[in-house]
Amino acid sequence: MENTTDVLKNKYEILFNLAKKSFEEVVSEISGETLQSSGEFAIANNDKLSLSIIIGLSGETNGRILINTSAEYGKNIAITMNFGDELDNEEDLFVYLAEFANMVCGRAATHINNEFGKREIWISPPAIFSAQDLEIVTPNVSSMKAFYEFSFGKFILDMGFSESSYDDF
Amino acid sequence: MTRKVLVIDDSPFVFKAVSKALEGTEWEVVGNALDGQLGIDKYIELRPDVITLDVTMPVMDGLETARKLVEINPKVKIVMLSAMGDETLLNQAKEIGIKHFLMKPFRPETIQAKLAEVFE
Repeated sequence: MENTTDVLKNKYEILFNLAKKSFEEVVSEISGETLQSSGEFAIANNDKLSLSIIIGLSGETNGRILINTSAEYGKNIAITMNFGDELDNEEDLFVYLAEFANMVCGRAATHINNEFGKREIWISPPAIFSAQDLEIVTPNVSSMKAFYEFSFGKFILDMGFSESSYDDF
Repeated sequence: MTRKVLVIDDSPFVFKAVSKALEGTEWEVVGNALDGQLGIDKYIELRPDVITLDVTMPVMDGLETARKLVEINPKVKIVMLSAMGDETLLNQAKEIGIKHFLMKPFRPETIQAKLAEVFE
């Protein structure tokens, strides 16, 4: 008989696989490319401005989804979302990437809620952090990562779950 | 005949994207609002023919906004344009009387077709 830890672990794996599926679907719909996750890599280095987009998950399961990339790679997504036109200004990069993350996480919430047949999770508005060599650490959150490298660049999908209340993390 | 569209969405991107997607068509985006309450104010001010309405927004979410819009005008035409589209949400939207739903991301031809569907 499975213990509580195993049950939770299995549940988190289901949630993470649905988040991966959502990332792959949304990128495919935007870019026309078929995605597959790749081996592990790092994005942050001294030459690139790192970007992290974070969206909180609340409901039956609490946690967060992080999408890590660089300004250079993020711009490729933003321009494609802008129907191929250059962005009007630098701020638009953040506006477009926030919406990209919202689409990925909204799709994930849709798949997850349909899978569980109830309102398992709800998403919060996105926040973006940008810095050289940025690394976001969320204590007390166990996370799973998927790595994607495609024509737009490198992206890391990082889904974390908190077993305590949402306010604690 | 040009038909007026109001975009209610907390992301300025969506206003830009819908405006671009409808360029050169019978649809004209006449305004946008970044939350539900502002959206209701804009609806009263602009009286658009159709509204695209997000679900997850600050101040007042899309479902509550839709309820209030239906109270103001039971014949209001709304397309829910959202990143979320689970069965629970769709059922809640249907209970309010919303029949048209489009998930993000969208292509220009998809949103044009969805808006046309509202008037069939």
